[in-house]
Amino acid sequence: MSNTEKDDVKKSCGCGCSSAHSVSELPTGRRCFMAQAGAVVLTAAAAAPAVMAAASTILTPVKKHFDASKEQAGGEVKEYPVGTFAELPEDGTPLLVSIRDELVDGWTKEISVKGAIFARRVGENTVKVLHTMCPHMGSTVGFKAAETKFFCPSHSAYFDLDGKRLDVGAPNPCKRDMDELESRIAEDGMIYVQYMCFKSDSPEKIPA
Amino acid sequence: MIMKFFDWLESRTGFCTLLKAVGNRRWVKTLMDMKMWPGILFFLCAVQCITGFILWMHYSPSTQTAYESVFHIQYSLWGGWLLRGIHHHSAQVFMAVAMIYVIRFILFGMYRKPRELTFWLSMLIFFFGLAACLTGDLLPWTQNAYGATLVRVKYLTQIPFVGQMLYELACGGSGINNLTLTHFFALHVGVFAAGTIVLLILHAICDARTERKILDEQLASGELKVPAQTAASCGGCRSTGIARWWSCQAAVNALGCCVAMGIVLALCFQNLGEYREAKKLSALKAAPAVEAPANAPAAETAPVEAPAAVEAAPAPAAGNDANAVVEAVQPAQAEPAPAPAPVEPAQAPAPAPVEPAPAPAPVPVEPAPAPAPAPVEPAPAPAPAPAEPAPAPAAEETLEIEVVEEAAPTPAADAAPAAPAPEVNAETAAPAEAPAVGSAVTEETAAPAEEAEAEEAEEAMAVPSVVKPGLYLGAELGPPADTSPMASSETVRPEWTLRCLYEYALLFSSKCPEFILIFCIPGAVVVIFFLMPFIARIRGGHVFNVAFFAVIALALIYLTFASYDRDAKNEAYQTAMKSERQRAMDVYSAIQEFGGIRKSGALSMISGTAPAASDAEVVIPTGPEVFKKHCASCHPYAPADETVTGDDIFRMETPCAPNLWGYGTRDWIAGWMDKNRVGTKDYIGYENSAFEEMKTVAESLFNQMDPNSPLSEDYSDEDRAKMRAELDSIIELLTAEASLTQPRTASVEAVELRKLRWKSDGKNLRKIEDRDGNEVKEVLQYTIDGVNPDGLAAYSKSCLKCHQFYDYPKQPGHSGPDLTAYASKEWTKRVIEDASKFYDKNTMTIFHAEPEGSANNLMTPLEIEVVAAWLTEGNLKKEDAPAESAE
Repeated sequence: MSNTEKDDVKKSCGCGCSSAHSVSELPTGRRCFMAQAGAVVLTAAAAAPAVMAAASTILTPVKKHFDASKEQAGGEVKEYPVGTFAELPEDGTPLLVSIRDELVDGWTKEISVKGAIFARRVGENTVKVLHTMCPHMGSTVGFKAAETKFFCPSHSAYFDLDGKRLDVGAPNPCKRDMDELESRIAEDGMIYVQYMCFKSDSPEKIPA
Repeated sequence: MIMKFFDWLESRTGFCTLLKAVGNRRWVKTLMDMKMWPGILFFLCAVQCITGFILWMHYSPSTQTAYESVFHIQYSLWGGWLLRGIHHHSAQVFMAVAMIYVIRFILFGMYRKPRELTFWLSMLIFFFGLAACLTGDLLPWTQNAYGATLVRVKYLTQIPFVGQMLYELACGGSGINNLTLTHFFALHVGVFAAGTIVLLILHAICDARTERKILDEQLASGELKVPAQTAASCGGCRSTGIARWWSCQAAVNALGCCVAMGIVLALCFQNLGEYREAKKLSALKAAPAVEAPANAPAAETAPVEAPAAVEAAPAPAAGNDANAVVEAVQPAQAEPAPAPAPVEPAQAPAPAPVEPAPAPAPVPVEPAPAPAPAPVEPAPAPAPAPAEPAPAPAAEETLEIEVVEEAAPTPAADAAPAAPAPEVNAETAAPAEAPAVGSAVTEETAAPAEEAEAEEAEEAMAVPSVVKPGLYLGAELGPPADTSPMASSETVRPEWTLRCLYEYALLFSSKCPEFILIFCIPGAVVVIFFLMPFIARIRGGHVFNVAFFAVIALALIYLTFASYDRDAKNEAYQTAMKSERQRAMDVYSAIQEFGGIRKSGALSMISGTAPAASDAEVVIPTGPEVFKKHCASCHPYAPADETVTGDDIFRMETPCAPNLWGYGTRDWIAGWMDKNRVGTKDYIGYENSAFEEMKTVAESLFNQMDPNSPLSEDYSDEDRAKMRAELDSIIELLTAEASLTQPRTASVEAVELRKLRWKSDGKNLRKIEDRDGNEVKEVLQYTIDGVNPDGLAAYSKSCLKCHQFYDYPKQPGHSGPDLTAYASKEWTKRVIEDASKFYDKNTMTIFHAEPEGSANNLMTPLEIEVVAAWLTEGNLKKEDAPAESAE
């Protein structure tokens, strides 16, 4: 402690603590402690409602997540009509079909495109439905008609018509083949698809 | 370890020194509350930053989304209503505290040298806060926000020369619109909120320096003596006349913050009692309606609530209710009569001038009750609401305050982690505790009841629903802004801070030009306030300042009360307010029912977008009116007899669409298959008809039946009679479709047809093959419920090639409208909505292809319904008799 500071204490500290302390130290003592504790506790108490309101608001998605996972047990997968079997090209070329559903976007709710699938005629009254989401990192897989292959441009992943991984040029980065979706053809020829998404970059098809 | 970290931090940043410098600020002891107000301002500013930042994360400034995102915050986010309530009300409390602070400066002459700058800064803080309130006011984009901002910004145009330019700058264009929202939002956050923070910091620095200078001067001059160290522990502040920020002043400030937050919460919960009563009532109403479960969950927003209502059979539910009333009465008795809500904010500026020393009261260190402070109580005294936790007792006893304050919020903090909805818990716990301290007797008896009540409330309030118009928790959210000039602006009022100016403008606007009234006079007053430190240097200047302030303050208080009083007595205002609140509730119900907000916005979800006045009626147009407006420019609607005229007859020289006279009747349908009629301009003989195909097909097909035609040579009279019978059966079939009110169900067998293929045999006749290439002659084993099989057989032979009928597909490559339920009301409506779905070569205007509310829709659903009903049902009724007789 410098001399000037010591002088300062004598001159102007003025805090009558039993333990002499410098200006740069905080006062101690029982009464001081009470006031200090009071200040801290009261400030915290005053701020608590605002902080808690802020925290709970911002945690809404987490709450919804837990609520949803509770509900999901035993929940049914939704089926979407994607078109009639007759509409599928007869030569087995995959047809890109969008899945539309009522979507909630923040506060708005409207019917919009939820996802897309490739539907392909693979035999008399049988259809194969593949997800357009790449099993690697979730980019959108397209169909290259000239090469009759599926192709994901993000990491140059090729797939054959059945969705099997192909090593064209470079090794395929995907850990599994393109995801096939459950589908059925109703009596009126309408194809229904159980549309759902799967976890990216996992060797298994895990619903996400 | 920790010390090491602090050493490291100190050596790099000097942070600890800064902290100690702040904590060790000392000054000559004057009024303890003088240092409390800026502390509360800092606290409220921090609260605004925290809550504002979270609101920012959820807010979207545009006319299409502003109200919608605020609605989402208020009713969908967990605790969002409280967040919004705290943000709104702490802004109001901030204004009140800033006012009190400035008033304290003036009344005690503290603005004089050397504290001029701290005084000016405190006034600037007030004005920045006000500007933040004004810009923030627009952001929810409610009717009131829009209307109030419109008027305020319009005043700018009254400034000579630059007014119009300033107006356009403020709006970001030429009106209150999307750009105004983005401008105001940026100003609110980036300029006024940030500016307030900067000013508060500047004020703190300036204040510390000035006070230190005063202290040093007084010590040097010997005016103030530092006594020798006393044996007592830290009582220095009292005995030496030197005050120190840490920790006595900090404790006082913290106490002030608690009171401020208590007032904010009280304002947020001012409707709590009434809200819960209404909630219970609506739950009771919902209970008997269990049979209709489809509606019940929709009406009840909190899904938790629904099963509860189901369980509560009428009898126990009534019992609960009775209890609740008793419970509700108890806290009410414990407190003084609750003042009506709107009065509360207004009173804040009022008490201070009347009342000399409001705050020395809370000195917590003082063992003996201070004699001076007790008498008349300051701001918190007329404590507003029944749920009020802190301020009421605070007004009564100094010592108890501490207990109350500590007792009330702490259990809330404790309970928080365990409870599912912490913020709600905090709130319910606080009011439960507060009255308990106020009157110890009621505490023990009422405690268990209150606990149960608290739980109940917690459940109900996780996300508040609107159960009654105008009942809100947090901050009120009015109906969305309707910017059409037809919308009523009767209820538009400014915030309480500007109510005095509003009334002042009302009183004098006829006597004085707006520019002088709104800008010159208030501007001059503000300038005098800023000049006060200089005026005080003149002899008697301080007295003048105080007198001037007193006159202005009294005038403003009078104007504020006069304004509220005027509205309270104005019945038209009350009715308009009621309908405005009803509108807000309608919006809420519409959104809850739909389960979200349409992209076209919340306003589009309530019918009749602009109820100009409370007695406005929705005018239902008549069929001919709609036809004239939308259809008659192309379609004639007139009988062949040209002498017939009338309001509902539309004739034209050169039509560009079929005549709809007799639309859907047997005669009209038969005309399509009559080669002599189909080519006339009543059907498709008009210029540039897109139905040429039908014309040629009809003419060639039906020529075969004409004995005089060369085409019919191959056919015997017997064949022709058979053809005629087939044609009649088709006409019957289609006529039956026209009077359908319900769609038919096609039989399952029809599906089989999908496996068949169409082939041309080169003679313009169709041939049907199955997948194996075998010709199928009998395709008519397929039936449709209620359809004559003969007609169906004839139809499939002659029409099916081009016209789909139920599940019978048309032949690929041929175009023609689907004749399922042809010319029925439903079919007609769908054609009007989007004819391109029926006609490949469509030439008809598409009237309603987009979701409801879209500006691209040319007709409303009501208009379509009306005109379709008029064309179908009306025609059938009118034409029934002549049509029958013609046959």
